[in-house]
Amino acid sequence: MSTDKVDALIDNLSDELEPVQPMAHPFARMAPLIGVSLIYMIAVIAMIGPREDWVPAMFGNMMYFFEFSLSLSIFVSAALALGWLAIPDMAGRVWIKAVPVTLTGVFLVWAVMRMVFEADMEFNFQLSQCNLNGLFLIVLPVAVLTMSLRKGATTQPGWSAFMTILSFSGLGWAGLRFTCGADSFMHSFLIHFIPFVVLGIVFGLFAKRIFRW
Amino acid sequence: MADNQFDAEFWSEYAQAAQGGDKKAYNKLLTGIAPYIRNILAKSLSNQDAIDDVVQEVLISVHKSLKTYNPERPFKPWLYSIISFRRTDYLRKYYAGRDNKTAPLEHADFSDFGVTNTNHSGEYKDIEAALAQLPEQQRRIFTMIKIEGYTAQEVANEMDMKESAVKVSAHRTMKKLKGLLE
Repeated sequence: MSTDKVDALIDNLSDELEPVQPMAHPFARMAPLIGVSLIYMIAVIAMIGPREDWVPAMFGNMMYFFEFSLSLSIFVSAALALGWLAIPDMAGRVWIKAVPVTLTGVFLVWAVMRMVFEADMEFNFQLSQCNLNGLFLIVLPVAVLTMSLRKGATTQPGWSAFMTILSFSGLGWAGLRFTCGADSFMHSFLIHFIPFVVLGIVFGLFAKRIFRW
Repeated sequence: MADNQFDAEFWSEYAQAAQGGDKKAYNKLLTGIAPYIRNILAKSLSNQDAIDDVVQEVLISVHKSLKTYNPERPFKPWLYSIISFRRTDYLRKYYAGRDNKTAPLEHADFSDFGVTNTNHSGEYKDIEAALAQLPEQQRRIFTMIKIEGYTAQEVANEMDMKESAVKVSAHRTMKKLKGLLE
């Protein structure tokens, strides 16, 4: 057994040791970041200008309210899951990943139902202001969440990437429901949803590099 | 603080002290966990060099991620996650680089130099020993059909026998081998 190298490494690591501040509780770490992301989203919406009918839509249209709340819940739960994913053993809270995944499942079922029951099925994918708005809405939250995870030591880079994708997609979708006046599902699906899927795939491709430690 | 660094129940204490900058406690922690890491890896990696590499990777990872350890939680699950992560990482790189298809000079007799621990590797020798107990003709028929991949017809032509007789012989040999290996 060649323990010489290991012994030498242990001595080196011991010599290099500096006092470290133990990481705060995942909730305490992520809650401010979630708050910052939400404030940023509100600021961007205010800058772009919210849709004119957002007040009656939010308080008078149950479907709109449900969809908005659901996408925001996906963002919050996925961002919180990232807090635990930054710890190697997730502090024993492995189940926490199931929350955003389940909410996303509900969202997809909802999406399929809308697709089936809505009559206006026009396929006209084109780059629009919504694409740019969506990108603008998520740029800071993506950076903040990714940086927070990189400060930790995830042993699940795949799951971390997936949770980051869910969180920014949830936030982006919620933000776009505020800025875009079109309620047609096909518009939402093609212009709001597909770009996030593409961004998610690109992000996923670099996940291992991004979360390497 | 306890003196026995090999006692896992004190690892959490050492880790907490190490977070505060206690180099002595940290040395005890790393010295204590190194054999533990090695034992876990030995169950899944057969190659000593690979085990040494991964042990070092895990120790460096423990060093990098020390701040993520919560002293209120048990130490072993935290450590085990890092071991499992680095082992998977190593194996992924190893097989992606097709390192299992190249043999280092010190192990030049291995054409497929796997690092995963095959607990059944001894069974090949058992099969060879069982085959050696069979009559020459039976062994030859069995070897040609089951190992070398010849058809019963080809073996029959080669051995100047009927095809049905070759099939019966191969079948009986298989049953006999099963009996010998049980």
